[in-house]
Amino acid sequence: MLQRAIDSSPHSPITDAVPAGAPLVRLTGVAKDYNGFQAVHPLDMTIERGDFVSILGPSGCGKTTLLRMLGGFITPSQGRIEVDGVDVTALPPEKRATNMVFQGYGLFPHMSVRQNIGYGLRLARTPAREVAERVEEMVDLVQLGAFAERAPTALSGGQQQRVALARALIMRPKVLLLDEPFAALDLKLRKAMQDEMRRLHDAIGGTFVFVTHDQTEAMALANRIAVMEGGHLRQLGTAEEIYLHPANHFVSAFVGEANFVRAMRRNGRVALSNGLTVVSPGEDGDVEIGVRPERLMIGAPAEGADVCLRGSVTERLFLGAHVQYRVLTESGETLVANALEGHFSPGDSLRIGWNLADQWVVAS
Amino acid sequence: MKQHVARNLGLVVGILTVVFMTAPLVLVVLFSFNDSVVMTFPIKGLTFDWYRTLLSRDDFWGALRNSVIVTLAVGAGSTVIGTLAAMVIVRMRPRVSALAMSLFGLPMMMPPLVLALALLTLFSALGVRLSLMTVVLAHLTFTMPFVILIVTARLRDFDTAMLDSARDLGASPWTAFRSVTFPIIRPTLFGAGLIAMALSLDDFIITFFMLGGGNTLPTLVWGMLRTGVDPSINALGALILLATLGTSALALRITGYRG
Repeated sequence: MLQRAIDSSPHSPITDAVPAGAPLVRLTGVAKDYNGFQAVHPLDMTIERGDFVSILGPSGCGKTTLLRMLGGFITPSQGRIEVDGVDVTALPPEKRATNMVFQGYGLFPHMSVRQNIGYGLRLARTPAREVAERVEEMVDLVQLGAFAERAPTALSGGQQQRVALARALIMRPKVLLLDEPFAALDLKLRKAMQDEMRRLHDAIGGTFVFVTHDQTEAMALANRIAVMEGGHLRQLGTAEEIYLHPANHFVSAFVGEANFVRAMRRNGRVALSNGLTVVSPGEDGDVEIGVRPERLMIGAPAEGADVCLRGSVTERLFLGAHVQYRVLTESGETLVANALEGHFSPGDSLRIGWNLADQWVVAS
Repeated sequence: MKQHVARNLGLVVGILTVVFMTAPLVLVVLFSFNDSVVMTFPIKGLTFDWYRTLLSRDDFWGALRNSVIVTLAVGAGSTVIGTLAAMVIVRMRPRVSALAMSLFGLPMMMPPLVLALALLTLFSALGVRLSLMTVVLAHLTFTMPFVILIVTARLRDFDTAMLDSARDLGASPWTAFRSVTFPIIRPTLFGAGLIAMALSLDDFIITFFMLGGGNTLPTLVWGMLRTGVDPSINALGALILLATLGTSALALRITGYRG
C-alpha cells in the first residue's frame, strides 16, 4: 500500500525507488509444486522497466501459474519474487503493487462501469474528487465514455475487456499482469484490441506481462517473449531471437514452423549431409539442424546456397500468399519449403538448399 | 384411438390426484368463512366471525408471538450458519464436499419424530430446560440443510475471477466478501432464509417435543382440536397456510427458482 501511495504521479506507473539498471521484477528459483505435480520448475527471470513481456506456451505449461504467482494468487513452493527491490513472495494480492486483468475479466455485475473502474481507489480511501477525476481519465483512455453508466453485463466482450483494463490501470500498477486477455474475443476484435494494447503501452509506459498460447499475438505485442513448456522456462528473448535462433527443439517447433535435419556433432563441429561442417559449440552427440520453411530455397537459387541437397517434390499446395512444397531429399528427409514461385509439380526433381545464416542447431 | 383414450385417462387421473391433494386445503379455507358452526355443505352464508373469534383469544396472540420469534430466529440463524457452511463446502475437494453435503443433509431426510426424540434425549441429558431456545436450535437442524443446498449451488457458479479482482484491487478477504460476494448472492440468501422460515413456521412434531410451555401456531391448532372442533381452527389454518405459501412464493420469486 505504501508503495502505491508513493507512486502517484499521473501517467507514470514507474518510480525510481531502486537505482536505474536494476530489474523491476526478479524471480529467483521460483517453483510451484501441487502435491507432487510440478506445475512450475525452479526458474529465474528478470523483467525490466517498460518491458512488454509475453509468457508463451501451450495449455498446461505453467504460464498462468507463473502469472498468478506474480500477482500473489498462488504462493510459490520455493524461490523468491522481488518487485522494485521489495520481496513480495509472501504478500497477498491486495498488498502487491501489481494488478491483473483476468481471463474472464471478473467485472462486478452489481456496479456500473464507472464504479467498477473506481473500485480499487475507493478501497484505498482516495478522496472522492480524485477518484472521480481518475475514473474519467481512464474512461477516456479506453474510450468508454458512452457506456460509463451501464452495467458491465450490458457491454460487448471487447468493451468488457477495456473496463477490466481500465480498472487495473487506474491503480497505476508497477506491473500490469494480463491472463490470456484476448482469448474470449473473435479474431477481428482480437487484432483491434492488440493494436489498442500497443497504443496504451506506448501512451502510458509501464511494464506489462501477459500470458498467451498464441505465438503471433506474443510477437505482435511483446518486446520479450518467455517460452514455457511442461513447467520449464525454455527460452527468454526478443521475437527475433526466439524465431531465428531458438534454443531447443520445443521452441523451434512451437514458435512458427520448422524443418529438422538430423546431424552429428563431434568436437564442436556439426557435419551436414553434403559434407560441409560448421562450427557449433556444445556436447557431442545427435543434433538437429533447424531451418524455417520460408528460408529454404528451391530450384535454381538453391544451387548457390551454402547447403544444397537433391530431392523430389511430393506435394504442392497453393496457399495464396505462397506455395508450399513438400520435398523428399535423397537422404530420406522430408522438408517443407514455402516459395513465391509455383512452377514445380509433384514428381519433379529439384535442388533444395539454405544458407548457414538461416539455420540453427539444437540437441535432439 | 387407443392412444387418445390413454391420454385422456392420464389427464383424468392427474386431475383427480390434484383435487385429492388440494381439496382438504380448499375446504379449510372455505369453512373458515362459513356462517355455521357445523362444517357441512351447502354453505349458507359467508362471515368473518371465525376470524374475529380467533383474534379475541389470548392464547392466539401468545402463540403468534412465539411463532414470530422462532421463525425470525430460525430464518436468520440458518441463513448465517448455512451460508458460512456453504462457503467452506465449495472450497472443499469434490469428494470431501460430497461427503459434507450428505452429512449436513441427514437431518433433512430423518423422520421428524426420530429427530425430535433424539434432540429431546440430548437436551435432557445435558440438563437444558425446554424453551423457545430449544425449539429454535431444533429447527436449525432441519432448515439449515436447505440453506446449505441453495447457497452452495449459487456459490458454485460464482465467477471466482470477481473475487480475485477484488483482492487484486486491494480488498482484504473480508472486504471482498462484503463488497462483492454478499451483494451478488444477497437475493439467494434472502430466498434461502424465507424457505427456512416457511419450514419452521409450520413445523408441529419437533416444536411439540421441544416446547417447554406456551404454544406456537401449529401447537395451538392441535390444542384447539383437542377441546372440540370449532371453525375458528379453520381460520387459524387458513392464516398459517397464507403465511407459508406467501413466504415460499416470495422466496421462489427472489431466488429466481425455475423448477
